[in-house]
Formats: sequence, C-alpha cells, structure tokens
Amino acid sequence: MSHPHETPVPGPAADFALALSAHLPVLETPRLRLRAPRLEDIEPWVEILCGPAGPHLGGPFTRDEAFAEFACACGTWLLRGHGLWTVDSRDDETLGFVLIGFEAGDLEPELGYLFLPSAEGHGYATEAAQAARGHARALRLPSLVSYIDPANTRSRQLARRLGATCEGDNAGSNVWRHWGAQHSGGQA
Amino acid sequence: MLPVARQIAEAVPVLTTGRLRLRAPRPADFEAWAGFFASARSVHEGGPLNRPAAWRHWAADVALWSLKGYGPFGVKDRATGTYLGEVGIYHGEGYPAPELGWFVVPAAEGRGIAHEAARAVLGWVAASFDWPHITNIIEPANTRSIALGLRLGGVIDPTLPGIDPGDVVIRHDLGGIR
Repeated sequence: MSHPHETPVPGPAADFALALSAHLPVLETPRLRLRAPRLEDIEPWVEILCGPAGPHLGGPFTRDEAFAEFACACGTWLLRGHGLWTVDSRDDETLGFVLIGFEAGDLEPELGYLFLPSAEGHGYATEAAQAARGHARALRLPSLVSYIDPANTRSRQLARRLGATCEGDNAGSNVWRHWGAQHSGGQA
Repeated sequence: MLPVARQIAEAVPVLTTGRLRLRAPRPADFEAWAGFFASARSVHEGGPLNRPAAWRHWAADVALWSLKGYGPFGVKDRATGTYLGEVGIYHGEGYPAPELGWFVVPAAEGRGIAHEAARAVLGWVAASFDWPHITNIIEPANTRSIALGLRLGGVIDPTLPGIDPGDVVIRHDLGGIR
C-alpha cells in the first residue's frame, strides 16, 4: 500500500516548506538536537505510535491515524508558536520526539515525549524533555502539564524526574504538573 | 501569539481579491470549524466531529504549510474583517495528490465567496509551483461543490484517482492560468 500523503512534492513546494520550517527553534543539548519535524520523520513516528507504546499514547493507532496525530502536533507551531520537535543524536540518527502540545479539550499546554524502543535506557528522553521544558519556561507559558496513562510507568518516572507532581485525573490520564495553575494556559 | 507563530504566519503568502483577503490560518478561525464539524453540514467532510477531534483535523491541515509548503488560507472580508471560511490546498491521509478545497461559513454562502477565493488560490498555485494540474476530490452527493469546481473551469476526469470509491475528481489545468 502506498502513502502519497506522506511523500513530499519535490520542487518549489518542498523548498517553501523548508523555508517556513526554518522559523522553528532548534534546541541543542550535550548529546541531542531538537529540530523542526519533516515529512520523512513519519517513519520513526509510526514505529512509536503503532508499536507497543501506542495504547499509552491514546491509541492503538492505524498508520493513517498516526499521520494525523503527527500533522496536528506540527500545526501548533503556526497556530500557537510551540509544537513538535524531532530529536536526533549528534550524528543525525532520529531517536524520538518531544512536544509542547495543545489540543482543544486540553486545559493547558502539554509537555510530551515519545522515543523509539531502541533509544530507551540512555536518558535521551530526560535530556530532550528538560530542553523542551526549559524552552517552555523561556516562552513564559503560564502553565505546563504532562498527561500520562496511569499504566505508563516509564513516563511517570520521567515526569517525576523532571520535577512534575501528579495532581489528579483528566479524561482517564494522570495530570502531572510542571508549573502554573489550571485555566491559565490559554484556550482553543 | 508567540513570536514563532507570527513569523511562520507572516511568511505564508497573503492573496487579495476584490472583496477578500486570504492569509495564514489563525487560532480564532477554529471557532467556525468547531461549529461546522458539530453540525450536519460536515457529513461530506468526515463529520460530525466533537471539538477535540475537530481541532486535530484542522490543526493537521494547518501543519501542511511547514510540512509540504502549501496549505489552507483563512478567508476574510476585506471591508469588515469578518472570517468567511477557508480555501486552499489540502493533502490529508489517503489523498492521492494535493487538492484544491474550500469551506465557507453559513453566512457567506450564496455570495460567490468560495469562487472568488478559489480563483485566487488557483492563480497562486499556477504561479508558485510547477504542477501541470490540481484537482478537487468531491463526494458525488456534494452537488454544490461539484458545480463550483466546474464553474471555476475544471473538467471531470474519471481517469484520476479520488479518495473514496465514487468520488468525483475535477481537474484544473494550470498551464492555461500561467
């Protein structure tokens, strides 16, 4: 089965997409680079969302559903000025993704992190999430939370390591608060 | 609005017609979409959808700009600043190619708004990209949209793929516009 919507149209359109993406901030950490997502990042994204972690992330997802999740996490850059980063190692291997996300229905901006199974166990998610969290601070976002499936032990541990505290539930997820208070994060 | 959002939005082209201004989507545009997807009018577009699902659908379309270099324009009344709808190039899951699509709020229907905006978008596509043609992909029951596609000068081309079986595919050759 082919997926033409996942393939860039080469030429001036692809060039313009790159020019627009150049406005997105790039964050560098000792081992990692957080950069603008590109269409070809859909492969590692699908590997994560359609893999064993899918049910923890709101899935399970079909490949097309995963594409829609990817695109909508990218769309907040233009709409709100924060969004999804692809996380690469310093030798340009994609390890996963972090995001400062927002959806209608969420009460406030969300810090999220999604990593390939092969990239787990090295502290990459912590390093990338700390960088994204620092960026959210620099943006002066009035509040930041992580919505975490109560069954997702690794993600809970990471939220705690980042300094967040679990304060209750929202629509079946635990709400882990990084800072701020509910209802101060904007609306959509 | 955070600076990054403003920078990307300002980099998206602005198209101006006699009555209309087409510019990058803004968060406030979402209210019209939430209303549309909550209503029976959205049956031709995969609706009805609740508010979070409508946001995901719409934000994914907006993301086309930075992912693919084309996307939807928010359409405003130049005189009043009122939001009238959205016209642009869409390319969601299952689309065989970029598609010219349109949406107007109920109050803007029957005034030729979609026609005027779509002509501007066709001109922009012809001038900006090297594509031989662009299509509309329309459910057969959506007779209003089919009529508009033909009024814009398009021709029904049964050889081109749609999204779902039975879709009407209207081809707009861009060579004649260039």
